[in-house]
Amino acid sequence: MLIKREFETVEMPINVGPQHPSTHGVLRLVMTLDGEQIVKVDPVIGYLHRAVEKLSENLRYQNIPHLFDRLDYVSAFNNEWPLAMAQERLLGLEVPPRGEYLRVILCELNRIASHFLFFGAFGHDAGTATSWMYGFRERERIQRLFEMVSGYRMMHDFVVPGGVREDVPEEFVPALRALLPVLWQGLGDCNNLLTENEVLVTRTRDIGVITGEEAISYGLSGPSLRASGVREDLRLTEPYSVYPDLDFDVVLGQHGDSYDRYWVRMQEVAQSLRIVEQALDRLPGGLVCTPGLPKYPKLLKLPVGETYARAENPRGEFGVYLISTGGDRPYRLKIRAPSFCNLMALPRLMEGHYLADAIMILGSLDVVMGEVDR
Amino acid sequence: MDLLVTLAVLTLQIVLLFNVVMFIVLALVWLERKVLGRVHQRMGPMRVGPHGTLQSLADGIKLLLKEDLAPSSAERFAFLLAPLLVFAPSFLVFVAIPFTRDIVVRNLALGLVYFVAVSSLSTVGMVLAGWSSSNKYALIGAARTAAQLISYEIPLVLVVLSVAMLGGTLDLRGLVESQGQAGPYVLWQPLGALIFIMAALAEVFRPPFDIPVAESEVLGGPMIEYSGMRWGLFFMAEYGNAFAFSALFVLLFLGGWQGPLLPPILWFLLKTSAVILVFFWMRAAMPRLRIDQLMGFAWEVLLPFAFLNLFLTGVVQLYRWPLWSLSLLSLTGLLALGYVVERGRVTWRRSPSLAS
Amino acid sequence: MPALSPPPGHLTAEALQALLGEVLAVYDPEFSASVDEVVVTVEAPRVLETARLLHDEPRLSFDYLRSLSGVDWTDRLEVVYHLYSTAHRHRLTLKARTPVDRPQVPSVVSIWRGADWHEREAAEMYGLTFEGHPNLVELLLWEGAPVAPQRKDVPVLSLEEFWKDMGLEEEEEAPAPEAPAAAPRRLTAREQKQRLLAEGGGLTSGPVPSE
Repeated sequence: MLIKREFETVEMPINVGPQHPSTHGVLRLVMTLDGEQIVKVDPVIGYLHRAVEKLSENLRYQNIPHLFDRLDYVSAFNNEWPLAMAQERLLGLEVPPRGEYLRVILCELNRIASHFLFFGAFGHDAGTATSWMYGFRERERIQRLFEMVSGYRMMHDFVVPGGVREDVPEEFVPALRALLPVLWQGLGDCNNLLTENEVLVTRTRDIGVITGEEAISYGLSGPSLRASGVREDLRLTEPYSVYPDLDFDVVLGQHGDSYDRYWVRMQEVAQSLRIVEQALDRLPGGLVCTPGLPKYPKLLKLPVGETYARAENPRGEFGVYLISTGGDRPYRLKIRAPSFCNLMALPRLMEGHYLADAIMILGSLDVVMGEVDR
Repeated sequence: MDLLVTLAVLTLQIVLLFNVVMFIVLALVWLERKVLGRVHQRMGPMRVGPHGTLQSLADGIKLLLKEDLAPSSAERFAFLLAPLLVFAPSFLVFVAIPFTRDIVVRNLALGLVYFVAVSSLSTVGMVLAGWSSSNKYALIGAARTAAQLISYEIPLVLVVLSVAMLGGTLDLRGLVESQGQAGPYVLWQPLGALIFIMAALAEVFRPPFDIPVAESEVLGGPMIEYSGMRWGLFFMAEYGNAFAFSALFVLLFLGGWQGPLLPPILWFLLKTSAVILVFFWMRAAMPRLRIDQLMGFAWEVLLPFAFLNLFLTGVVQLYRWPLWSLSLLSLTGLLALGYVVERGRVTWRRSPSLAS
Repeated sequence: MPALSPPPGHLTAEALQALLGEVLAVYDPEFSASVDEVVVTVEAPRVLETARLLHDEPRLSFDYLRSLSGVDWTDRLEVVYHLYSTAHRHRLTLKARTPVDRPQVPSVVSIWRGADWHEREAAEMYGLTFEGHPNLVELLLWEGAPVAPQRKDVPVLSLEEFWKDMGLEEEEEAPAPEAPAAAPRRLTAREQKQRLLAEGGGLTSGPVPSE
């Protein structure tokens, strides 16, 4: 498969991005190619750097979720949750059960929507525009529900310390129940299109392999880590919220290649649908937010302390390291973005592959540049 | 005087043919967008004209009005020449295609050879485009283009030769007429038909063989630096070629314009449309293969089986065995091809399973 | 429902602290606690050996570096490592203190490959130098960006200050010219939306298309 070394070839430096249909945002890969083979690749990031961490030090706590929504802009609910969790830990708040269940429902729905977007983009990189349409069709259905809940399709600003901002409208639960079988059907359609598609398997099997130990050393998380066979899912290994009461499987891959990363995500959609069904069945009544909490726009003051709160985002472990020295603004807010850590492994994954494989590897990592650059 | 009349008739024929080809291309573009849209659960073009039928025309006018850009470091003459070199062959092949028994510009006695030879001239144009654009992506795309076209030319020619052996002539109209007696050749050479379809897809750069011109990888390959009508020429060449190869498949394997009840031209168009719809279907459903996988497929799978097809046809013709024996042998070859592909699924390992 | 419940096999904080005290005794660390984790603070020059011990010691085996942050406490700089053990499922926060005038910390890239970009970012944002890092170039910032922008002495400007800083003064708005009376007035976005809603259109007021 490789050219023999009797040829004399010239290595060609090439720029993939920052404008490229397949780099999932503004990412620049400075590659050196020998024919079609990648000799060296160096990712250059920072095109979307908006200094969220620095800005947060000057914003009151109720304003920070606006910025956090725009980090991993594909799954906004999941970004707000660790921030709210960090504040709750410092304040010692207990979230009422309805609030917890609503958080779980909305975040798992967002995980499903995010994975459908991944499906669309991945298939599009492989060559089918059809997968783009199928993935986004399902995502649109979920986004209509989100609009019902928070008024926004994407940037919700809805999860607050103590629960969620307000209760869902009456038509939400019946609409969600009606939507679930449609989503199962949509998942089936998507699986029929690509999951056993021989061309896709040929393109992604044994491409971008990383072993479990290396993945841990690189700090990979989420489906990219689980595809290498490492059983790390924050919802099970460090359970938070009501996840211990819900019954779902952790999806593991075996080979750690791009196909497994794709396959794990598609199976996770099925698991998330199970979670949403169970959470809907168990959804209690009552308050959605801790009573007695100062309502916005009054000030929220946190006591002195620091904490590292983390949640399982669709892309991996989203961590918020919050240091508070009293007052209504954080002293330091560090965002541990999963795509940032996943992208670090990219040169290692692309070693020895071809240019066409590089596109598939990048697609299988499912990075969102908003949280890479913050 | 006779010379003038001949020249006038020829010019008229050429102008007419050009218009026909243009119309076919525009109709195909519209059809593809509609069919793809329906597969994607959306409508496709709807606004420009009833059901978007004038969309292609509007796009053509837009392309004509666009600014004609060229990179400053491009080789000027080659850059301007390349689109013409790509478009001209796809137009020239139509000269030899008989739409029906009487509707043909010029039924060449070596029509089949002419078709295959002229259609492979577009390779030169693509490589020239890629090289003269002074763009690394274009260069990669051009290299891939040349490799792919050369690789798939050989199985195509071998299959076409086998059909010519069956029909006993290289003349396209004659081949269709010999199918009138023997029956459509797809019945006698299913292996050849399948190889032809795959080689034709690769020749035309349609998915799943479109990696040289893939948008999400090399950003369009050799066509990257072209804008306006120059790009339009590449585009028209692609669709013209797609129609030409579909028409060739119909002529060689499906019996051309022959069929009961309906007028011949309608049969021809129906059959060609069916083949074209298969092309569109492949585009909608299949991701694209990587260039080395693509070429491995051509040299390691298609080529030996094309030789086998030729050999079987030769044996049947030599010993004057009945035609249904060729059909049986060809079907066996087809099954063998399927088996080889199945075994060659080196990447097909058991999917990972759920763990709790 | 508490926000964090300890998973099985997890050492309690006291047990972990005792174990750490035993293992790291030679480095004389300081112990404290955040809300949910044991915090170990060492001086910056010793953090590499400490981290290696934490990584290699089989009873601890902190093989996963979650996060590496720089913190500016004005009188000192700190690098905070959040560690996790996939085998034993316990967590730790390791802090390395370094004075502001000599902000050098040994790099832990040789222990955890995932420290690479975190250290680059901390270096450019806080002016830290990570000794032994193979490629300490800028990650997120552009050429000509302010040096160590996340330190506390670099302020965040208000919008007016920013404009003045960039040399863009806010312009006086010129009065809008009178539209000719004969031309029909285009509806503003708000009016268009009102008209659309009045006619019964809109995004969620229609039926969700079923397939």
